[in-house]
Amino acid sequence: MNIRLTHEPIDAGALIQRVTRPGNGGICTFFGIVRDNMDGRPVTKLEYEAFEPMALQELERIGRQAEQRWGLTDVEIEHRIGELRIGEASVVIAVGAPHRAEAFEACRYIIDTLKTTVPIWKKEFYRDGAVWIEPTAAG
Amino acid sequence: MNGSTAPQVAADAPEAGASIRVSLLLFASVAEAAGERRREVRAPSGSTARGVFEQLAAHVPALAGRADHVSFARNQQFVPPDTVLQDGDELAVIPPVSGGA
Repeated sequence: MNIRLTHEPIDAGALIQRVTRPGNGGICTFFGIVRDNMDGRPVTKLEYEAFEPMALQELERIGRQAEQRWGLTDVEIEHRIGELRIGEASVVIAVGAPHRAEAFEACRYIIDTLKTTVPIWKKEFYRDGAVWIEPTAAG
Repeated sequence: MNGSTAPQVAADAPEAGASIRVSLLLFASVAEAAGERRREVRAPSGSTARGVFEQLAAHVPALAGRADHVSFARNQQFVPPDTVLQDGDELAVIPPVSGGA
C-alpha cells in the first residue's frame, strides 16, 4: 500500500504502473479533477489544505479497510495539496485485485470514504471571491 | 454534549485552580477567521475540547456559533467534543472536510 500527500502534480502513470502486476486481473482507477465550475459558477482555481499527519493516518486506515474487505493486492492513494489549476488531478486512486468486481467496489469505497473523514479542505476561487467548501452533514 | 452545557471554561483567567496548557491547531475557514493556525492557550483544568474552542471563539466574533459545526482531534485522534483535555495536549479543530474531487 502506498499513501501520499504531494505538493506537486500527481504522476498517475507511476501509480498505475505499481498496481499493474501479474496477479491482478482487474485494476481500477479514480481521478478527481478540478472542474471549471460549481453549479454553473465559473471556478478559476482551487486550493487544498490538509492536517497532514492526520490525513495520512486516515488515508492509511481507509486503504487497509479496503484491502481487507475486498482482498485487494494493491492500493495506491495520492492527494494533492496546495494550489491547483482547472483540469489538474486533486486525487488519484489505483487499486489492483485478482478480479474486477472487487477492484470497482473498493475504488468507489475509498473515494467516498475519503471525502467524509480525511482532514483535507478545499477552497474554491471565483472571479469575485473565494469560499471554503464545508459540506453540512457527514456524507 | 448539548443540553447541560455548563460553562466549563468561563474566561481566560482561571481562578485559583490549576490550569492546563493546550496547543490549538486551526485549519481552513477556522484558521482564516482566527487569523492564525496555531495558538498556545491556557484553560482551567477539566476543560473539554469544545470548552477550549469556545474560549477562543469568545474572542473571535467570526467563530461565534461554530462550535456545533466542527470536530475535534486530540493528539491526532478524533475525540467527542466533551472529552476532557490534559496538560500538554494538542487540540486540532476540524471544520467539515472537503477533500477528494
